[in-house]
Amino acid sequence: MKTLLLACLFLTTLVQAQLPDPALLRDKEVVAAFQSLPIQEGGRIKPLDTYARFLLLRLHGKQSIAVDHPQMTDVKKLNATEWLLLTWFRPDIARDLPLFVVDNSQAVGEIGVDPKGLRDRYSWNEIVKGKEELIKRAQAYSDIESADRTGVQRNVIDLARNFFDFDAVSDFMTAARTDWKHEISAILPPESAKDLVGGDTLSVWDLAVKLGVMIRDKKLEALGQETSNKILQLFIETTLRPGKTLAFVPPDDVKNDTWMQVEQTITALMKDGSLPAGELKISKAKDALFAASLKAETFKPAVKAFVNDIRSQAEKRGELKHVDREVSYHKNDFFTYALVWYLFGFLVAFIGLVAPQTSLAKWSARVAWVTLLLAVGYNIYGITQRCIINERPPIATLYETIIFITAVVAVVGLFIERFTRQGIGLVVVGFVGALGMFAANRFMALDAQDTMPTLEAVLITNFWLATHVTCINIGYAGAMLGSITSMVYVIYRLFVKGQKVVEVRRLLTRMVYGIVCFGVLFALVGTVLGGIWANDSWGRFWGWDPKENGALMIVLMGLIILHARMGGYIREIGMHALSLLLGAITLFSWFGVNQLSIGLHTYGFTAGIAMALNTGYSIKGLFILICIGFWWKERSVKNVKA
Amino acid sequence: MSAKPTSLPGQIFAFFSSFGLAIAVLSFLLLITFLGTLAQKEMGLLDSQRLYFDSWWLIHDVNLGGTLIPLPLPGGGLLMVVLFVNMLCGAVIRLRKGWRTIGVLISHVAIMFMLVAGFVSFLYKTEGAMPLFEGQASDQYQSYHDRIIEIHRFDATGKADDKALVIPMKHFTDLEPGKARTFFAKDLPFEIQVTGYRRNANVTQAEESDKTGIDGYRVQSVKNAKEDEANVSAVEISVKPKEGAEQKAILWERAFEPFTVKVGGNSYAISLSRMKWKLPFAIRLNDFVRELHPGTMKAKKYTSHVTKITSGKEEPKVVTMNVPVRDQGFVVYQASFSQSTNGEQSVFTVASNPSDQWPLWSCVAVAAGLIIHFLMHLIRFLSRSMKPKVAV
Repeated sequence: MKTLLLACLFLTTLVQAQLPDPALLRDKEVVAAFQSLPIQEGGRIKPLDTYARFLLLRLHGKQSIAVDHPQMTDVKKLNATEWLLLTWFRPDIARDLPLFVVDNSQAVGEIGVDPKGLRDRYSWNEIVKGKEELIKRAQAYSDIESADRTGVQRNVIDLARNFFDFDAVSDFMTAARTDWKHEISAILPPESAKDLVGGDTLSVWDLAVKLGVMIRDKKLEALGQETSNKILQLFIETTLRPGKTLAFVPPDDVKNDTWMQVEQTITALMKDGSLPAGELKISKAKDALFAASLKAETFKPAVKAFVNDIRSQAEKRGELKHVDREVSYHKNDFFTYALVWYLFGFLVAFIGLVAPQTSLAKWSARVAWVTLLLAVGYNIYGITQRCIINERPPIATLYETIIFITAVVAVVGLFIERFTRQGIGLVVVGFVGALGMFAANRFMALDAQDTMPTLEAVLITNFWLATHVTCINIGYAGAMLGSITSMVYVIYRLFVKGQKVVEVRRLLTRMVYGIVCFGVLFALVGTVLGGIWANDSWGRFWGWDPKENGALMIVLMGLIILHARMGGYIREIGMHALSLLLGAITLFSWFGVNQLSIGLHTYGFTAGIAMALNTGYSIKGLFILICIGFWWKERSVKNVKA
Repeated sequence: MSAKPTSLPGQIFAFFSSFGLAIAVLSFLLLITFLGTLAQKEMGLLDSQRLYFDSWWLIHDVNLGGTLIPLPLPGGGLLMVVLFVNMLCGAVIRLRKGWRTIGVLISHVAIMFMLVAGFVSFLYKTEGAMPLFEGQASDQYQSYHDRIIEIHRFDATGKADDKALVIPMKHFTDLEPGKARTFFAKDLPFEIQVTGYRRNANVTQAEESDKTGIDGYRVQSVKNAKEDEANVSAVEISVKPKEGAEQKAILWERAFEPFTVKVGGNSYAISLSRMKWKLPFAIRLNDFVRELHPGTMKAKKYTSHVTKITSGKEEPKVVTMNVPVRDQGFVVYQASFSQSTNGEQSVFTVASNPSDQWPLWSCVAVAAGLIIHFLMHLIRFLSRSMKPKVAV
């Protein structure tokens, strides 16, 4: 541990006095060029922008960071790529920014750092004071079974991981900043240093070649354990560890689909004494960026040349096709716009409901239609962009179910509104849309991982993703829309009095019945299709796996509602009570079974959903209780009449 | 609704064709599906499936603040049989046939067909694993769950005879320590008594003072694994020849070799193992390829390049995720793989199921039936909604 700490102190002394102007790092063209730089992460090629966004989201809880720093008085906020560039080129400033989000201040208290608010953000410079304790505790807590860890223990583990990840990223340019001649001369006796530091300049790449020769000739070993360790330590800290953070070097060999990190290219260079020309050029060009960054007139051309070089390599390999689309997908933030318009549409439609039969209602309905169509447009356009980027149907992850189901609910809701023209459809669509977009956003923040991950082998089948997964999610959407319409019924029945109330209630009941029919059709067909997929993939049609059972429960509940209605067992209140129950079952099937963390479908396990889920169940439960209240009241009125 | 029937058969038919019964059955099915899902967290998939879904009835323990209250419930098997009868009576026989009900009829018949498919699969399906190293061939697959005690006979020259006796697991899994059962066969010169079955067990050296030990070893129970495949079973047997002394032995699934006993001129090898089935063809694994997403350890594709050998005729085939190889009623799936010092091993699941493709046909029919029915409903709903609108 001490050696690590010493190495850290040592590294800070390596940073030269000459540093780039932070304003240069926010230059629009520089940022745009870096955003569109293709890199490989998580098994796919993506723009640097995506990497920066999800790294910042994981460390900071947001995709942008507020700045209040004496060296950057002209700026209040940085976007993810701007922050990443600052971290690379000016780690001295980046380490001052309150970056690491800690949910429970007890976690920082445990490592001897002064806690701030209960949930607050801390800079690298604040956390580094408790670094040793952080390592010790994180190691101890990692030995505890993950299910048995307390919230604070999880926070400590996350903080340690985030701290060291950021630490490595912030050293990304350290090798380029290092005066290697000076450092090596300080370690080696003058006699031996000659071999290594000869020549006018010495870059880490020259050094790697020379070190490689020394290692092969056993000359490094001959210098003694302590000296060779010091050199290797310097090499690891400045070059190998930070070099692991980003795979941005496309291999010259087109058949090789694994992009390389500096850690790999420099190790290969050391080992073999040479590297394919393109790989060496790009690896070296990264370090040259630092020297160029010291002057405004050299930085921009150097960045453009560097980015263009990698982009043209990627293009040759056929890996550039969706990079720009992905940058624009994130930049356009379709789902946040959709959220805003859904919310606006909901409020306007609600005003219309409050003052029915007036010209205000008429106009609010018109405005709501326009805003909600706009919202659905954003929602669907965003999904379409994702399909193009991923080259697959819309749903393969839990995040994608949320945005897809919201879109389906909105489209079906607007379709119903088109025929019923009561304004109720508009309110429901606005509400569900806003809620869905908000939930998607929260889910992404909680998960803090790229929402377009590569898929597990069994999921890589566009046929089944397009049929089973889409069908079953349309089924979920039907069930959710039905249960929310039933909530509108309950609220309506509680608060609206008047002559025509009964007719509206009847209409709501007919709507719910229609929606349940729609949901059952898709849930049933989707579930059976799932069985057929399972039969093709695992050799059994039905395995009573929790996710399968969840889908079956939705189908069964839907069938109960349809048969109870046909058999005359339920009319109005019963229909809504059961539709609410169907909503709760759908929540269980959609998210609840993933929380059980058993079975073959545990792809969507995300900690922290339990709370939202329990709130959902409770709300449905409360509305069901109110329905029972209605029934009780209706019965007693009937009894009195009798 | 027609007038209530007065005759007993009429009343019985009315009961079995009623919506009320449908709702009751579907509700119980919903309930046991929910309970059976939650139970998997504690007891694992196989046990929960057997208790809740493959059963006629069951006792579910309701936990009320630490006190367990036994709640008897109908099992999945019973509910599905009743559901079938209910659909047959209500949605096929009683249903007024006509254009308006054609969708209902089609979808119900299709669901009944799916239940039949499930029943056929429950009765006749065999499923097991076939692990193969590269270069290795096999025409056998062995069950994931079914254990057997098998006895092989060898004559004086050491030539193997057919299996002399196979005892299926249903005849010995109830024989916990203290309970015993004796098995015999016409052409076996000895009786075999089985006792002390443990679903998951370890065999350890017995203390010298331990009189229950067999040949210095004893069986020790181990907590059942959640995934039944991981359980290693053991039983104790004693071989009782008509003449001569009784011989005791421990049979353990992980034993290196079977227990051998000499009676008369023959020797008999007795072992506890998984049920095995033979394929009408053999599969040889030529090459197993595991593709990863670049730069990660996440699997992108598992592919086994195999040769299917049918009576000497060789045919190259590829088994990969979602694309099994089907032949003569058997299906070979890519299940998993393992890596060891011996090389890469591809694990196939082999299944034989007469109703393999029935759910597919049923699904198409259900979808068609429901679409016809609901579209007719939707048109009615819309035409009603298009009438002069209701003012709020």
